[in-house]
Amino acid sequence: MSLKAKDLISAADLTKAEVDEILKESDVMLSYLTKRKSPDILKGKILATLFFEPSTRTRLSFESAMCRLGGSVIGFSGNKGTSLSKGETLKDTIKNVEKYADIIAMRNPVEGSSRLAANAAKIPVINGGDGANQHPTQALLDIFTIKQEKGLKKLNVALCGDLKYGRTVHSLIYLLSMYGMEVALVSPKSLRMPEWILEDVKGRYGTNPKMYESMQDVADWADVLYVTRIQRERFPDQNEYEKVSGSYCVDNDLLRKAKKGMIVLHPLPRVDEIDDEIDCKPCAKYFDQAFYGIAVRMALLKMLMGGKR
Amino acid sequence: MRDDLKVSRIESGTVIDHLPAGSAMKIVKILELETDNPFILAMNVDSSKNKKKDMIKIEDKFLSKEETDKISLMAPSATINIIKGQTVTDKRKVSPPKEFVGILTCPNSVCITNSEKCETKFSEASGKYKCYFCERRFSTEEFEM
Repeated sequence: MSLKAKDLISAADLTKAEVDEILKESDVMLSYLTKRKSPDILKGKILATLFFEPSTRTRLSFESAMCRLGGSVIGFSGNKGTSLSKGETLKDTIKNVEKYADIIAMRNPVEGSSRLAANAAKIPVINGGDGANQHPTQALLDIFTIKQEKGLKKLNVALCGDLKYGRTVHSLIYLLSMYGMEVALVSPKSLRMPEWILEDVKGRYGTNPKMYESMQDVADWADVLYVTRIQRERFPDQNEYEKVSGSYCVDNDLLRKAKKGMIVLHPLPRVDEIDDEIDCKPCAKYFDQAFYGIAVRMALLKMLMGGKR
Repeated sequence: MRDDLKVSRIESGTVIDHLPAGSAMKIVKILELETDNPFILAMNVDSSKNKKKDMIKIEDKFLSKEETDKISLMAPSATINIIKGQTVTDKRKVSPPKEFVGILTCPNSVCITNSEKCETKFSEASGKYKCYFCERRFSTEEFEM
């Protein structure tokens, strides 16, 4: 099994053997990171980060990963000042960038844009988020975090918040299902996980998640509480937002009811869905997630470009 | 007057009958008939099954099942007659194919295929059709014909 010269566009494209391999390689990369070593595995290679919409963690994480592997980075954030703002097609942009770089990490607000870019490019393309569709590298770092913190066993995982538009959960549910985890979905009715994703994971893995509307309902059940932001702008009626937002806050009150050993994850940025007072608790693993993310992205860059240790 | 006598008979070729009234021009496009063999269109003719129907007769061209299945979502009750020497040698119905390439428009307005020129692709998935690009699945009723 080799990921060399492949693209990474959707969690739905990955096999379990491939994810196993990525996690194994991420372990090796993590050991470099913890020892503060920077191996020159990708010396002379260039990563292009094309972020057509704002990103803090994902872009910097990719760039940090490439630098730690001895490679270089070119790219942009936001399409202001690029040819796209002059009306150039995404396909033409990609056909140019592939001449400048050896691999592309891309985020674009339009669903399916990464697949189109991958079709156009002769070099590997990694999807760093395409609208509300997919964010496979986030899902890989999420599952790596779960592996590091809890082990990849039959765990109870609750995905909470905006499950309709949240691309991280759209990817993560595939990987959780792949490893046979029990999944619960916690969201307001209007922000439930799309039917087509539920049908797909049920067909592939037999996953049949229970649905809840409050985190209180899963607090004493979940080994992993995966929290995502509920965006105010998703609610046409602001009173509706005020009504539901309180049910999606991790605070000391919720933790008192939590199952022993439960961990809290979040793809970040957060707004008010995790109280600051939780940050210092042992269950708070969301900043560790960002650290693990560098190891996972180092592994992916190395594997997709066929770098040798 | 009988429908099939309103337009002249063909010696050999393909007759696509029982098309929804008003759909023939679109079907000509899907089957890429404009640049090929001579064809005859009959639109809004009386039908015993539906009130009105369209019909296409293509001379000297025998459309394969693969080709005619492309119109199955737009014209599910279409019938295909293959004519040789003025005789019907094969009569068949259309059925939905495993994949639609370059025919359907993605119903997801924020799919890249609706903002950038590219060939759409939908593959059959548990009775629905999955967009190759945005990954959403749609039932046949969700496609705009």
